[in-house]
Amino acid sequence: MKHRGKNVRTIDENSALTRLAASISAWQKDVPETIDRLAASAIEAITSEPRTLERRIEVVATEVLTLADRFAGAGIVSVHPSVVARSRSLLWWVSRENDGRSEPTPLDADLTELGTYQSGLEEIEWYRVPSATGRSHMTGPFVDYMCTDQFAFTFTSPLVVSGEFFGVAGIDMTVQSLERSVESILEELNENAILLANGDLVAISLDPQYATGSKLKPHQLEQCVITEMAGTSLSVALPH
Amino acid sequence: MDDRRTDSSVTAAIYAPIGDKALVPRIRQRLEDAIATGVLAPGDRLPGESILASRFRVSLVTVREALQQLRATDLLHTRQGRGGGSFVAADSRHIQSLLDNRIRSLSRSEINDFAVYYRAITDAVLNTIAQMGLEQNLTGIRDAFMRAVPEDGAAARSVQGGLDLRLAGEAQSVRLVHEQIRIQNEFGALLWMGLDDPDLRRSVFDHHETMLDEMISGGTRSAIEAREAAVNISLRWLLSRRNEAQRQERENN
Repeated sequence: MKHRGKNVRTIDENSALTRLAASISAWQKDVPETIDRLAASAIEAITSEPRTLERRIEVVATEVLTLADRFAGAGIVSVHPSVVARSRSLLWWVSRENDGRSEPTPLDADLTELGTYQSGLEEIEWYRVPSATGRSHMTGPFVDYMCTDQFAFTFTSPLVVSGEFFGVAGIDMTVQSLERSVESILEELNENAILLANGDLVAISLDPQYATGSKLKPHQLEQCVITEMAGTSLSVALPH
Repeated sequence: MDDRRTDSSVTAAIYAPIGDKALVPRIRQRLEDAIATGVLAPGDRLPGESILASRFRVSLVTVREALQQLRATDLLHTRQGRGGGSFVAADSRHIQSLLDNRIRSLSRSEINDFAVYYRAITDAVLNTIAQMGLEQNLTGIRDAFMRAVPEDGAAARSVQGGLDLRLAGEAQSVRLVHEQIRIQNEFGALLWMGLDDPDLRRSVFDHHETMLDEMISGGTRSAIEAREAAVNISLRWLLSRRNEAQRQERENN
């Protein structure tokens, strides 16, 4: 391995970082539009015919999941009384393997053992953060026990109807799909490169001592040069 | 292939029965334990057969067979028509004898082995959370745990099950969660049977509070010790109940 001085980047490294940023952008490029579509059809249903909410979300979610296999789940979640009065809180569809083909399946939290013990949905990060900040948020990576039993990111945006917060619309993307897009570029960058989410959470680590979903401690972060991937919640950490 | 290798003690474990054949007794046992420990109360309606089949992830035939056996022992009864279904029928004396039978049938080594398995999983969960630096994620679990004030044993067992599963979830390991669910289904109702006793409940839950506080402040070892103390209290209760039940049986014979 070539010795490199601290914080000095070679041209190769810069080019790899540019390609990494481009791959990550490509991986999540349809995310805002897709969530907007889910949100738009939810808002339309809530304001005109609330009884059609579940049916409408099913149509959009099914389409989303069929179009792009990077999307592992899609839907809306609302604990707003006017929604809960007419439908379930969790209107979420996930891709499930069935005879080798993936098929959109409604998620029934009651049917997953963990669902039984799940605390209020509004406490979960993918609901809580958009609710508190009014902004879109990427949660994870975390193991999605309620859906796919895989490491996933959940992207959620607030559902706002006439200025009032109604819940979130969102999609799930697997860490595996991100791995496929960026692993070879990470290898070029550094044999111990780490892709981090929301600052310190490990998304992909080439160094096997860091598990996906674990948190890097401040002293571990200090041993790395961190480059944020513009327009995303991800950054890459390269050990000195 | 060398035949001796297929007979070694290591490979024997690989070829041990998977247990699919035993699905009916296992479902029956799970429902019996739930009725015995009050998780399912007299008069409670069970979900429909097809929902049960989907929850247990077994065939409809298997569910029907298990329900049939429970009807035969008068633990369930069926009402037809609108609002019908399978209902928990047991009266309190029937439940008490069910519970006594279940406890009496346990061997000490069986209980101890379950306890070893339970500790292995729960210790691994706490160690993994600490290794992954996710201790701060437990504050939400602690808040929810502190808010729950169970009024009886069944409610307390539900809080206990929720705590164990949410902790396993925080370890970010699918396999640990599945193991936790499995041991909870097989042994949870029995291990935590002592939570019926309000004093025992208080001391067990005090230990859990200590465990959560220690985890959040980085004291994994003390957290594991607190967890251990809670399990030991419950195990002692279970073993003494078992000894009592066996003594009574000897006197009756």
